[in-house]
Amino acid sequence: MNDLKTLTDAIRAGSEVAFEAFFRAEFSNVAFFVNRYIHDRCQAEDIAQEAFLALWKHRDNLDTERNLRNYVLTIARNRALNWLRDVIARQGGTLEAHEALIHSRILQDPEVDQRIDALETEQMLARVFNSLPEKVREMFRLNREEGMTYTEIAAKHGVSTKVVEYNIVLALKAFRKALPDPDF
Amino acid sequence: MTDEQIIRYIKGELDESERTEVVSWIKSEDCNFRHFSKLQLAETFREMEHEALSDEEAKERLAAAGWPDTANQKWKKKSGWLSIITRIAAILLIPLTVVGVWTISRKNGQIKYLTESTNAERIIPIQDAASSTYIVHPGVQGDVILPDGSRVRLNSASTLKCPDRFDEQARVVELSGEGFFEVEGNPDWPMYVKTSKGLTVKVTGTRFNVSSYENDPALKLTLVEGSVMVIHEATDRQYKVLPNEEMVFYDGRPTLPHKQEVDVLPAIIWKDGILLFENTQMPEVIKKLERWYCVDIIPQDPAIMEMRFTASFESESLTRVLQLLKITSKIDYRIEGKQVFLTR
Repeated sequence: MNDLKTLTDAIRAGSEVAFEAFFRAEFSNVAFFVNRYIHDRCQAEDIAQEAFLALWKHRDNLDTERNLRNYVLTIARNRALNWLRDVIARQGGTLEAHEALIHSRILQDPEVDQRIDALETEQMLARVFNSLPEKVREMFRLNREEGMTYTEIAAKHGVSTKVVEYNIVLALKAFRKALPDPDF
Repeated sequence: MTDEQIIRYIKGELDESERTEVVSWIKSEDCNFRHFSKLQLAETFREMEHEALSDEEAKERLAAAGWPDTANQKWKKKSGWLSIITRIAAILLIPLTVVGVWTISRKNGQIKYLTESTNAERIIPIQDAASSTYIVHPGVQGDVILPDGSRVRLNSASTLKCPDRFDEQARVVELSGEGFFEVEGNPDWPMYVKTSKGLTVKVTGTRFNVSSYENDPALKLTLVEGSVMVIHEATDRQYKVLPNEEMVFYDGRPTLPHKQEVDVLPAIIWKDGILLFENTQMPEVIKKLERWYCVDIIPQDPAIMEMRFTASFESESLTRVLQLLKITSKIDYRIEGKQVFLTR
């Protein structure tokens, strides 16, 4: 879980690079998950977007021990539940309302938590890494293979230390432990 | 309703009239709902490794959602109140999910235990208080937290009766079916798990599994840690079980239990949602599948009952289990509603 912890740390510390990579890597899964319960693709994508933004908004309170994916899926699930409740209240008696009732019952089942907890993180982390900007991955390689310090890397790429500090270093930090393979 | 049709429903491939049909099937019985729920979750989570978005797509979506403008305020310190509220909200989320389990099958009612004897030295105390009964239907498992904080995971088709408050002398619960108990330790406050087989399990703090289905020919107790005593009620005879031991009390000769050292994992793995058969005799396989999948299984050839089966399943559909059985054991199957016929 160390790798995840550092990714959470990076987002918590405000790394937009890390957040964007996480968004790219996980958006489809969250939207897919929501859509399986609300059967409305557009709405599902909206809910997924909101969930990610809520994660970003509340990043100060992120629990580093908790899996980021759990966090975002839990928010998405609660929003999906609100949406389903709305359907039940407004369209009572219709087929859609019956379906909403069935799906809201499933979504409230503790098995959903268990299944979310059981999701593998390895593939997700690989996706997040591949979603990082080319430049960041290149810097990662320099750091790993050529043993360059962050300051040296910043100088080489002509970026300010501040940029390195708030964006790149944090994103790198997130994957230093996660992906020890220098081929990346 | 076939699993194939249900999966098509889950994937959104059905038209309105077909959907109506599936929905009314799900709503007709709780058992059907459980089966649907199981399949729904398995299908959804099986596909949770989608590719990442392209860079452009991600940028577009983020922009549509107001990013990174929302981000520009990120260095502003949040007010103390807001952060407290989010923390409270996070805490509230957890109990909400737990409540879901409790409401499944909570029934309230006064019950009293038999008091025909007036033994001064009663080995198993009487609990005289309002009680709740937790019922877990076939095809599902349930968690119960007892009034003292002890936890019980109930396997499919099981019932647990327990008082709303334990009395000071002892903690008494009644089990029918199978449960994995994690009992809060207190040597002065024993817990008694009564079963319908005339046997009671006495513990003071321990983790153990007890299987005592009425349609099984035996009570099986497997101890993970601590120590337990099994009391034969009619004779007050007591049998001590040690960790990594399994004691089997066969119906008809309950005072001659069979004890052996075992690997406890196979006995308790069901609580992690895994259905395990290790060279298991068919009568037991059939009973487990019936409870697990909420179906009736009818073998139509006596030779089937003589066979054994080895496999482990985690969230597979019944059809997949039966297919495996067909491949490995040459047992053919036919599903008709909630009945499964096995032939050779």
